[in-house]
Amino acid sequence: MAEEYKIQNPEMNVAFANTMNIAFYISLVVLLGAGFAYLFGIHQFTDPIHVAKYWGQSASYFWLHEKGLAPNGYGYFLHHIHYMDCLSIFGIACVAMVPFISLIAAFFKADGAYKFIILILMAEFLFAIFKPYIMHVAGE
Amino acid sequence: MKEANNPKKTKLKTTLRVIGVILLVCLAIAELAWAKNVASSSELAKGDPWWMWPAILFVFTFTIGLIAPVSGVGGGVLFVPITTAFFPFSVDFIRGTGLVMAMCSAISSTPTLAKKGLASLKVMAPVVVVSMAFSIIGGIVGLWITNAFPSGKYYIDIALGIILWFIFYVMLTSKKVEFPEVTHIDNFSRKLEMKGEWYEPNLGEVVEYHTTRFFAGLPTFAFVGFIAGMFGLGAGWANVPVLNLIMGAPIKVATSTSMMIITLNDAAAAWVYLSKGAMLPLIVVPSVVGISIGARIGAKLAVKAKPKVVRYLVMAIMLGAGILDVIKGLGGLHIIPKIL
Repeated sequence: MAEEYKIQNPEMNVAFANTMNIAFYISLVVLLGAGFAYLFGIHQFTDPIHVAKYWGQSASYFWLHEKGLAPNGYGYFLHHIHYMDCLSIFGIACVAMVPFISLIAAFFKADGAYKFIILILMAEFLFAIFKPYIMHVAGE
Repeated sequence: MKEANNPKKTKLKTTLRVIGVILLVCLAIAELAWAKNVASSSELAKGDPWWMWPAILFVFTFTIGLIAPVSGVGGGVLFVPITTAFFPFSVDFIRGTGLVMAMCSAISSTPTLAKKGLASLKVMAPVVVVSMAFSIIGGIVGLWITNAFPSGKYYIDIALGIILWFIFYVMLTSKKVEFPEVTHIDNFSRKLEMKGEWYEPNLGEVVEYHTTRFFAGLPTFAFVGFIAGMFGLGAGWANVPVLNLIMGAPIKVATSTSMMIITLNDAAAAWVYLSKGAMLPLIVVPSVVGISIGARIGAKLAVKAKPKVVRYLVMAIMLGAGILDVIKGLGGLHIIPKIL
C-alpha cells in the first residue's frame, strides 16, 4: 500500500540513510567478529583475567596498570591492531564513524543552507575525533 | 480529548498511577537491593571465572532489549544507572558502553525511518549543531571528573541518580500530541524549510508537517547533549517531548528524528571515551549482542504486551536505580554509612 503513495523525501535524507545502512553493517562485523574471537581466546592484547582485575578502576588507571599505557588518542589500539581486542575497539571506532560518513554522503546531495549546516556538523565531528591531538584535557 | 471531558475520572486515574508507581518503586528497590547483595558477594569471591560478569551482562542487556521497545524507554537510560549500581565495572567503561549501545540501536533504526520520511535531516541538522557540541563537552567533563578527582566517580554516581529522578519526572508528566497544530512558523524554521511528509498507514494518506519555535528548543537540546555525553545516555526521553511539544513535530516524527539526533550526539561523545580508553570489548561485545537480540524479540512482544504497565514498571526501576546510585555515591563520599 505504502508504495502507492509517493512521498517527497529530500535526496540528502535518502543518501544519509543508505550510507548509514551499509557502513553500519560493515562496522558491526568488525566489532563483533573480532570481539568474539577475543572472547574465545584468539590473539589477545589484554588478558581477560587481568581485565577483570582492573575493570572496577577508572579507564586511565586500568590502562596504566594493565599495559603501562596512558591513552590520550587512538595509538593504544591502532598500534596493536593485529590483536583481536584492539581490532574490536577499532570496530567500535568504525561504528562511531558511521554518522560522519553518512553526513559526507548527505553533504553532496544537500542544497543551500543545509550544505553549510552539514559542514559545521562535520567540523564538530572532526573536532571530537582529533580533540586528543588538538587539546590536552586534565586527568592524565 | 475524552479525558478532558471527565476530570474526575482523569484525577482518579492519575492518583492510581502515582500509587502504582510508588508500590512498584518499593518492589524495585527491594529487588535491586537483593541483587546488589548477590553481586557484592560474587565480587569478593576469588575463584570466579573472568567470563562470569560478561555472561551476566549479556543476560541483563538481553532483558533490557526485551523491555525497551515495549516500554518506549531507550536501552542506554536503563543500562547505565543499573549497571553502575550493580556491576563491578568502573563508571567510565559503563558510560562508554552505554554510548555504544545507544548509538548501535539508533543507527540500526534510523535508515528505515529516514527513508519513510519520519526521521528528517532537515529537522535534525540545525538542532544537532548545538547538541553535538554540548555532548562533546559533556564527554570531556564526565571523564575529567572521574580521572582528576579521587572521589570523582562518587560525584558521577550522585549526579546520575539525580538525573534519573529528573527523567522519571519528565516521563511521568510529559504528554504526547499525535498531530500538534502549528499555527505560526518562525522565520528561521521557514527559511530552512524544516518540514517533511510521510505516509501514515492508519490514515491511509500522506501527512505533511512543519516544525516551529526552533530557538525555544535549542537550550533544551544543549542540555540534553551535555547529559548524553556526560553520562553515556541516549536522551530520547528529552528529545521527543521537545520536538513534539515545543517544536510541533508529530509524535512519530519526533520519536524517529530523536533517533537520528542520538546517532550524531552519541557518536561524537563516543570518540571522547574512545580516546581515553574507556571502552573494553569484554564489556561492549556482550552488551551490544544482548541488547540487539533482546530488542528484536522485544519489538515483536511490543505488539502483544500492555505498554503502560511495562512503562510504569521500567519507570519504577529507573527511580529505584536512581535512589541506589545516590546512596552509593553518598556512601562513597562518607556522607552516609556505606551500605552499597
